[in-house]
Amino acid sequence: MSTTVPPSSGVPGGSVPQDRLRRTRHVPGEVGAWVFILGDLAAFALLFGVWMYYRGMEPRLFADSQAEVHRSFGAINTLLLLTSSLCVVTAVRAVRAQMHRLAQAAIGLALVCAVGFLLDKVLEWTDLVANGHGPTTNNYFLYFFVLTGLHAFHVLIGMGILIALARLSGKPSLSEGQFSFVEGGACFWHMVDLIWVVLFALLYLMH
Amino acid sequence: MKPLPLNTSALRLCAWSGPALVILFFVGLVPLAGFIPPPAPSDSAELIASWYQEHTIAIQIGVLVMVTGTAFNATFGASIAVWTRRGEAMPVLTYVQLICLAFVVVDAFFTGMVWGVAAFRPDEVAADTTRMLNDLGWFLFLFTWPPFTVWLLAIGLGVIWDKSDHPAFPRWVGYYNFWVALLIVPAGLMIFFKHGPFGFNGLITFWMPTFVFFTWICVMTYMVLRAISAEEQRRALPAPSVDPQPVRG
Repeated sequence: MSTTVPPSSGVPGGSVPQDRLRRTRHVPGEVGAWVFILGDLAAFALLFGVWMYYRGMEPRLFADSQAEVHRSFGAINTLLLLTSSLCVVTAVRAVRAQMHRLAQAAIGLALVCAVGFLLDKVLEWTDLVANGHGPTTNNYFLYFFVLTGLHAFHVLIGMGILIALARLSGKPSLSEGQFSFVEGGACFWHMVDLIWVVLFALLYLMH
Repeated sequence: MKPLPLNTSALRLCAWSGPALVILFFVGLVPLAGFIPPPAPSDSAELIASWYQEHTIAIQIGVLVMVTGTAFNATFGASIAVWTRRGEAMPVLTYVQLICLAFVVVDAFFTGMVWGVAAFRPDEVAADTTRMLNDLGWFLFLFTWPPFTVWLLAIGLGVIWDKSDHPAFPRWVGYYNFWVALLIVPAGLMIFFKHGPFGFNGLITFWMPTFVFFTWICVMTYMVLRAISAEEQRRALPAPSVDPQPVRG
């Protein structure tokens, strides 16, 4: 950001060339891992498109059905995932600062949030089905269950990755590749969080 | 023991069987049999049966062309496995690939064969029998995602964990395999739906996994061919001396 050498510093050439600056920019995780993360986001973008398409076909039904869904379940889950993302950020910074205990505690807390998310999800699903709003009720609930189900599947994958991160961050020192994995895994978790925030807006809030 | 010379012809032949598989598959299913876009899962038994009755010969020729290509799953899969094998001391991930691959060959073949049975005597059997065979073909095509996913994960992990001095594939190829593995998972949802994007003719269960999987074959062919060329060049270089002289001031 502010690494440009002032012209008065006497360095020949005055300022650092642009390409040098660019080279010092840091991509979190491996570049290859972003093939997976961006690709997965693209697939979810397609799913969001499907949702918008069917919502556009039956706007009244979607609005009426949305009124039957309890926002508090979704809001609690949004809070839980945002908290878990904050924990993961803290963990990555702690790993970088060699604070292994703090890193493991933060990832542990993120995992607790993830378990809470899934519990809340199961409570919400059973509550909906008990009140006669199963996946076969109408298109709103059909896509509601499919989209939240596919996202919950990602939460499960993410929890597996977080457990791997917790194990890695306990090591006294990490190789460059291992640290990259920690960053890439953290990015995957943020992606799971990001997808949820969009889903929450689409499924629960949008009028 | 002196290592055997590299037979790049065999390696290239197997790699090129990937595109051959894609071409035979689509030539058989699109212009000949007319299976893509797929019939709707909501179509009546009479509609499906009359479709098989009116296009019997075309469907028969189409599925024959398609099943001809299915054996190339074996050759193409082996052309990838041979490279991840090099990066493993105890090749468990390679074994996983080969076992899943055996299923993939059988599954792809049975998909075509079941449609072939449906087109064998559609005039003589009841309409709902024809529809059941048609449905079964689409189940064999999409509902069988798990061994495909495990195959792709085994390749991806093999690439990421390649411990050899000269990894055959760049690491993004590993993550790309994970992505494809994940994107074919929604195909399993076809069991619940007779309408919309999750039915066996739907955007998420049919078009996305099919597109992603068949482009994957083409991308992996290219990466395997690149790996073969790189290995050729590496072997053409003189072997580095075991005890290099330290460079002095």
